[in-house]
Amino acid sequence: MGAKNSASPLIGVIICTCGGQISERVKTAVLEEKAKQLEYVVKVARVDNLCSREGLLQLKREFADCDRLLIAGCSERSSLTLAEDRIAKLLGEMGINGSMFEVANLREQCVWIHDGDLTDKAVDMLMMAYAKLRSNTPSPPAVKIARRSIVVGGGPAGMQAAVDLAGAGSEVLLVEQKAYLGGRLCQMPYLAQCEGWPAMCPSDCIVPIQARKAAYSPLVRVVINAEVADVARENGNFKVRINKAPAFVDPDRCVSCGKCAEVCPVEVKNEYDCGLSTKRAIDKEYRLAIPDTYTLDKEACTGCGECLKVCPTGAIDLEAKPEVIEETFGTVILATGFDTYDLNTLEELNYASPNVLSSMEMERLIAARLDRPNGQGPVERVVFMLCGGSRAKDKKFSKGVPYCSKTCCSFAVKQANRVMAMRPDAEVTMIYFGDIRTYGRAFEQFYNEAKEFAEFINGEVVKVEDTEDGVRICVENPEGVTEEIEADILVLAEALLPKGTELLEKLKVRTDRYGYPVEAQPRILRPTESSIDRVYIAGALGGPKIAQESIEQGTAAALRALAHLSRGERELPKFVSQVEKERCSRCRICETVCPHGAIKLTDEGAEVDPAFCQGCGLCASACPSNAIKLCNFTNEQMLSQVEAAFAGVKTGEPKILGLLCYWCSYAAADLMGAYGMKIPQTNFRSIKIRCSASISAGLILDIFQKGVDGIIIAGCSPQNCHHGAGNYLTSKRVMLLGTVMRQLGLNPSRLRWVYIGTPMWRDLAKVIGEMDKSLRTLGPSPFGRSA
Amino acid sequence: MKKVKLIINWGASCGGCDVSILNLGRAVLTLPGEMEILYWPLALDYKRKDLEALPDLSIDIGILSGAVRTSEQAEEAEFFRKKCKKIVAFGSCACFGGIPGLANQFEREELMKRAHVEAPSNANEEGVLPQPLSPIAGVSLTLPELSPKVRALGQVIAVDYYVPGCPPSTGTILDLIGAIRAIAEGKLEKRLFASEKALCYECPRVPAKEARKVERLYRPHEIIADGERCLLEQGIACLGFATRGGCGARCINVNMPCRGCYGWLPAAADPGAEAISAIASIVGDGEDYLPPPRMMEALDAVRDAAGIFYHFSLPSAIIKKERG
Repeated sequence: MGAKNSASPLIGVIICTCGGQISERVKTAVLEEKAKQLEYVVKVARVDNLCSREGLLQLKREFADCDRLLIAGCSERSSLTLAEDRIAKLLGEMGINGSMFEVANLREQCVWIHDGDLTDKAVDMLMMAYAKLRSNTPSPPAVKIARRSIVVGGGPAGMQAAVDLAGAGSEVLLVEQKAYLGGRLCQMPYLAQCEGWPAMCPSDCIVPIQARKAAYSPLVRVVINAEVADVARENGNFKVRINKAPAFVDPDRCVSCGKCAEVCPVEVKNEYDCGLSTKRAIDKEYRLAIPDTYTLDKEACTGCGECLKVCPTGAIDLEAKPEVIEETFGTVILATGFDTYDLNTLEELNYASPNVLSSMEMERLIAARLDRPNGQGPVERVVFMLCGGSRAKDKKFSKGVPYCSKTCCSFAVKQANRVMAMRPDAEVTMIYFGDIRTYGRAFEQFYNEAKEFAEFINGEVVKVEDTEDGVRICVENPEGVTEEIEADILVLAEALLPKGTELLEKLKVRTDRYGYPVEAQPRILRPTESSIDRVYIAGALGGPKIAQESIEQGTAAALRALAHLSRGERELPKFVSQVEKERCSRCRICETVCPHGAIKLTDEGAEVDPAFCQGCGLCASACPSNAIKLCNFTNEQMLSQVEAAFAGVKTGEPKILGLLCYWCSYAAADLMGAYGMKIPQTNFRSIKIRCSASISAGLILDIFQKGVDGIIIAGCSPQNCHHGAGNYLTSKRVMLLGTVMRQLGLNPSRLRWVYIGTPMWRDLAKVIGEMDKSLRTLGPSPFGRSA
Repeated sequence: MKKVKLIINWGASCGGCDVSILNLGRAVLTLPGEMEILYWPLALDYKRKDLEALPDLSIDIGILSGAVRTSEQAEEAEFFRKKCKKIVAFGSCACFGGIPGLANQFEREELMKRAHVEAPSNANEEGVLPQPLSPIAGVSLTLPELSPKVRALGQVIAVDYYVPGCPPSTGTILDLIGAIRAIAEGKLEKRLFASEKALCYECPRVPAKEARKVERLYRPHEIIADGERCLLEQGIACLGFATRGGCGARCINVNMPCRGCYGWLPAAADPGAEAISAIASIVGDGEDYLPPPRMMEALDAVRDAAGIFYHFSLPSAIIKKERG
């Protein structure tokens, strides 16, 4: 037996009988003999229960001199005891590179699904795994990543992420567009404590608590009045350029005495107050803002210099220059929050009227204890309208987004409660669209309380007119009957939208059609993770949330980022794309299809950053120049498996190959066995593929040329692809190729695309049966004959 | 210096290849100084007997354009091979089968029936079809027979050099002329007169490319293409990404998409498969809201997949017509 650095492979073959489950139907001695005769095989053993403590010890003891392992046993995808992650770890413990193994899935996809003696099929499966393993390549060493994060957005989610990262000893740059931390939280005087407890927290209490933690942590650097101008992936990291507006007032010297604002002659709208109040060109728009400093609105400033004269600390510099910050980070947390739907586009709602308010404006009015800024005195008659721009798809009159903005019903009943608390004699009416969606215990409680004093009307607002002392609202109920309501103000619960979508685009984060980022699959297990490695989404950017939910996400994102930051490296997966630059024609198709933003174009050609590659193979299969290969999943490897696959299939039996997507369809094939389904097609072979889209049309043709009679390509169910939309992509590929086959008189039923989700194992069995039946009618493929 | 001896002819071709040689302008006048053209039926008055009379291997280079569709064209190709030391397949039809090769979607008999009986312009009530031998008034008239399939020249005789293009561009033809002596002397290493990279590599629209998915494809008459942006990104099935460059981006420069006349890329196993893979990869989006059948609408403009993806190359495709 050679040493591990030997030039030729040192293959160990371990055949598990699975306590007799495999050996009942497969003559494992035959497998053993077969394996012993194979080139490069240096050690073969049969064990009864590989995944037992003893079995694993035996593996470690007897196979330590191998440089790669072939395990014949249970499914590496679905085994409950010895799946691929555990195998890779074991290999690591044995000093073998974690990529250097293949599994012949004799249990789930052979003995569990067929009756009779299955030695022939088992030998084929062993040979397929062997064919691939021979040419496997070890993964390169892990890539070093910067042990620091950038958090974009200083609202509740961003602050929390920064605080938690710093709490775990990790360095953070927190970038905020506004002059202070807290985001929209600062504008909402009363916050629902949570979805469970029907009480409120004043933001004047909690915002400073949170902002102080972030601003004064030695590991957090807060940059205000700043925007991320660019972000590029570079050597496994994120290189970020931040444009920071000039600091006309030095926060270090400013003592927030307000003398500058007293002498400033320029009055402007206070955006923090949604324009309901004014401020000076130099001012502090939110009293409790952190950093505790005044800021200057340079556009409004006339440069008179009065403020310079009165500032006791010399903190003002009207000539201050903008700054550009360029730094590199290992993880990115995006917490840019939400935008609101432009209510001006809903003409029937007359938002231009001073008496029609958005719910954010209502927050400021509540902060002003309902005292209207136009001197009309406090409001007495308040009408709330829900679904302002939300759920437009079902509406008769209104435009907007089709989705429910989730928080608005709760938000509105909370506001109604505040109105009643301040003005118990007020008249409150709520116009809702079909139903009230106050989810959770607290919000339902607010709703129940509101029902005590407010009138609820189901309908759509069709017209809003100004009157002498307010507005006249025309509502049409579902029966088509209209009624008119007179009110002092109408509050529109506006739909929410994602904010900061330009940044998502720069990072190539996959978004839905509204611009919300889509979580990485499996989504259920990966909240806050985006389609791009180490880019996390926290808070309302990912979808409307109340403050507490945003804060939960800040913590979740920080913890996920820490998994990488604490190690300072990103391990490279078994499957990584590589570009042969000499062949690259720079058509950028790979860059377009990469669902994980791992590819960029350089002057020399396309370049894959392995630290972002998820090994789906979409680029390799789409590259028209064949300049990209997916390591450990090359076309040559696939074809060598195909060549080995059907030796045991009797002449005349159709050769059926299933190319099954790792995530869903291969798992479904495993579950046929796990749930006790038997299929008679022992002439069926499967290859586990990275994504259904990792198979190019050219490879399909090559496989046919190897004499395969029928190919089933299966991928995740619609909307469930793990790599963008590889399933849809494959369905299109197969459709086009099938059309060409049909045009050339070749029966396209030899090539079948199916959506097979994990629980659809019955459907998979049915498809295999149908393919078998149709191939028996069609006879052997003419492809194979001509090859 | 001894002149290079050349013979030229065309097979199943539109004649555009020969015209493109004559269209070289001034350069064509320099040819007689370097070469001696002993046979070129289209341009000079030669007949088959002149070809037959040439001693075997007495000619340096034979240039054949057109695919091989008839028995006569196959014979001619054999003659060329016999008489010439080197054979150049000239133009996409000779190189890959070309547009005539699209006929391989149909059986020979179907084609004859369509052309001579079914087509509305026919007046052939008896359904007479052309025959290889037609005895008329004691004389036997002969016609070349259609072969069962259209073949590229290389599928009939061994070809030494390939000059693709429909027709080959002036630049490519000048390249060939520049290399004529090297070919004659057996010193030219490259066998194909096209770029090793895709047309995208030299496309003038590269700077405007955005690497974005394409919402849907359009048929050429459905859209007026922007003159600066990548045609594919506008939804036009430009196949420049899967086609060798070297043509000078003639079509792109007049706002027309590449249809693939310079042939598929060196590492591609099949002429059309790579383009199918790529087009299916980047056309269409909306997995989060479109049901699967609606996704396919993005490709509705593909009315003739074989015609789009194998426009010049069907006889060279892995998928061959196989019935029964």
